[in-house]
Amino acid sequence: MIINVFINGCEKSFNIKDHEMLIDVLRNNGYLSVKRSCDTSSCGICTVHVDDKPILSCSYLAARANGKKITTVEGLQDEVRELANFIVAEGTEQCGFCSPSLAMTVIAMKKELRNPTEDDIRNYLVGNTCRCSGFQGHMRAIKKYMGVE
Amino acid sequence: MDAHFANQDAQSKQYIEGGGEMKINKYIVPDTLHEAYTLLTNTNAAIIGGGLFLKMNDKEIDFGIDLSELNLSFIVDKEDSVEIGSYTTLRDIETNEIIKSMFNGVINNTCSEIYSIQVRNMATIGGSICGKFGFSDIITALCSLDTYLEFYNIGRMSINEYLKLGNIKDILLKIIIMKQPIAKGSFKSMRLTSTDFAILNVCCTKAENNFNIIVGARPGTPIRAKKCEGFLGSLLIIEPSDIEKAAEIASDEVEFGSDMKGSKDYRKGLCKTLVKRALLEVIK
Repeated sequence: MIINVFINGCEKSFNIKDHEMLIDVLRNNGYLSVKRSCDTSSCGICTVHVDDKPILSCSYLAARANGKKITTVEGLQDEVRELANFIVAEGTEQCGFCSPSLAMTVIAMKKELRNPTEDDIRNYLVGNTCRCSGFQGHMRAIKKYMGVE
Repeated sequence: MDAHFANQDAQSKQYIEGGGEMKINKYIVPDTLHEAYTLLTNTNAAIIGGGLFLKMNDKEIDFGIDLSELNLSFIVDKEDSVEIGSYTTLRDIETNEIIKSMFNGVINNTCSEIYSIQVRNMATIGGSICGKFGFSDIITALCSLDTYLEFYNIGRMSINEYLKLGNIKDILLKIIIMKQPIAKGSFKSMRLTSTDFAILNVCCTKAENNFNIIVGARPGTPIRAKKCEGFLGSLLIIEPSDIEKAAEIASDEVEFGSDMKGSKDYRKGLCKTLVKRALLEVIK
């Protein structure tokens, strides 16, 4: 079937299998910031935005995205760069595999939450896994990015 | 472990280990409920809710039915109830102010414990209910309230009646939660990590002097601790020692099972603690 989507501000059409997941469609069409890890909606590594809401592309049917707005890291370069500066300043980046998905979730969080506490931030990010770090550096960076004391 | 628990264990195991991927031969977005219902009842079809469980079984279906064009995503405040469309996401429910005002936010609090923001942006309340998953947190919370389900064909029934039915081929349209004055609720659960399924969950609600105490993820679907409710209802004044006794009655009367997440005895012990904590909150 053919789906028509808006990816990072551009209208695109894809010919997909009816049961194909969004992650496969995105990666097969060059959006390689979208990573595959657990493939069972557990780790958050495949997070993208659909209609500005963070979802798990490994478990989201591509057919369901028909007519919707999809955003990946490639479409949020300015916001991602700003967040990345905070992360780099804390020395928290290791392998970097989780970074695109974490950026997607943090950027969504910044748009959604007003004056969050540290607990609010932790709760919002609970679906994003990092195998390298203990999250402490990430929390410092994200709190600074969010303007939270 | 009886057949019911065995089925629930199989669901959890399949989710954790991965059961393949459902194959959908044709993805359909019907324009009318009649079209959706006809497809569902006359063909090898399934309704796709949030779609999160598609990867957890390797069935092949001819039609995957997407109801997103049928205006089933809504939360409406009525005089005596709140109505939630079956395609409403758990995240929309979690953040809704109308629902927060009911039973001191027990439904919102329950939703906030489910998995992650990303999952809650996808999972629908209809999919969560119709799956009848033993580990479901939202089913436990809804069972503690005066909750009805309205289906396209068979009409309205209580959620407790629905859970006792076998598999039915029908379309869940909305969930109706009756309002009750001066009502409080508390949801408690135990899980190994914050994004894991609950080993056990409990929801207690109190409206005037009526208690509803529901125990779920046993690992079976939720049931009421009726003896415990009866004990509390018989008391004019509830002392701390009564709470302790009530929790013990609940853990004695509910049937538990063992699975990969926990043993029967562990769940029994958990039940006493979670019921006690929930009751202490609702009697404040």
